[in-house]
Amino acid sequence: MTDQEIISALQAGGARQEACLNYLFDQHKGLVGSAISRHQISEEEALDAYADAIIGFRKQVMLGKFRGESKISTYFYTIYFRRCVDLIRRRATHQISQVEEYPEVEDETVNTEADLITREAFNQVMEYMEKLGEVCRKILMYRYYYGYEDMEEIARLVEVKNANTAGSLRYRCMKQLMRIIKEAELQQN
Amino acid sequence: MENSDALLQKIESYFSDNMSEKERKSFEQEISRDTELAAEVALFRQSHEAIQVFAETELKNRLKKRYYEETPAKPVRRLFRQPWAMVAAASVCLLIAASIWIFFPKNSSPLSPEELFQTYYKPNSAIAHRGDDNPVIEAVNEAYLNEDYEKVIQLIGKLSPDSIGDRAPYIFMLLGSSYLAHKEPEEAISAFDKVQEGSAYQWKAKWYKALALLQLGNAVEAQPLLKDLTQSREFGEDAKIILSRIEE
Repeated sequence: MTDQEIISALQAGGARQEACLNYLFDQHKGLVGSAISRHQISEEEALDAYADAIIGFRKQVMLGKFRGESKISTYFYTIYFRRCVDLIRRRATHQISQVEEYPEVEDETVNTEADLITREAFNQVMEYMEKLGEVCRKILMYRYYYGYEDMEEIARLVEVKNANTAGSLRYRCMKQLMRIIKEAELQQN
Repeated sequence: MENSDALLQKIESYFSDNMSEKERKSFEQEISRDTELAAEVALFRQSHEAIQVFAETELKNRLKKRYYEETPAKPVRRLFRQPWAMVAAASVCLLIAASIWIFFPKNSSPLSPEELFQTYYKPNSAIAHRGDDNPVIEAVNEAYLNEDYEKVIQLIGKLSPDSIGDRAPYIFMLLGSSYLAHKEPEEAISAFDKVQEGSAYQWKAKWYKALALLQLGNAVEAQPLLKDLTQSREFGEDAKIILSRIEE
């Protein structure tokens, strides 16, 4: 895929976006192995950083922050290695000489650290989502994260009867989530 | 305010930029006038953000699963596809079970350090990873994954300190493991000593150094290492058992 095709597929959402994320993941996964030996991090840590980088890159594209001033591979490599260096920094400050190895990237938006949420907020969100049934979680994820527009397709993915069922569930599930959050906030206050 | 499907649809259109300029302005005016609507919009935004966080976690797990499923199987895994190998593996398991039964009878007869080494040592193929841009290091990775430990030792001997650079802990870990698999525990200990504290391999190096010491019959020097290892998630339980056997 060319850089333009990757951007188009991510922005299109739905099955095209999912396939593109798999493509991106497979395309650069050799970086996991090289980070293990180069940055002295474990395979689990390298893989965590790599998956975070894919997700971070997707987010930058979806928010229109990736301006295409650098090649996707360079941009992605930089996000990934910043994640790795974050891990190293947390472990020992004397091991961060790798920072110098970053390639030059013109996009100033490459730093995705601001997107990270606190552990407490994360746990809270997961608690809200846990209160929804599995079908609801999936419907909301396909519709509002991957951007599937076709309810027929969502019905097939979450294995409900048809597009009408999926369509009405979509609103019902969203209302349920809104209610869960509202109740939790009322309890906190 | 009742959050009807129509209202949700409207809020969704607003967030996904699917409104005309006129519709947007009109909706924003409505939000500024109606506090209940403003609260609904804020709640929708929060819910949308919660879905993003949840979906990212799901995606991360899916990608990690994909990696583990698609990373080429190690030679030992391919071996087990052969029926004869499965029979052989089952026999080895039975043999190990019998050994454990013999070595750990009810009255817990003490084990010598060498016997403890025999019981707990197994070469760790999961240390090596392909994908290095240095061809010699990549050949080292390949040789290690193929369990050709002699070749690993030879190849690492050819590497200059400059070419190793910051990969030193990884290289010394592979070197020590190869010496240990090649029944050269003194050389293994010397390599494990070069794996820095604080590196990703510190626990592995400590564990295999302790085993190398046990192989040499030196339980006294192995003991403090094993005590440290009780803090390790990966080796803690085994270290505790070995310590209890030594202390008997």
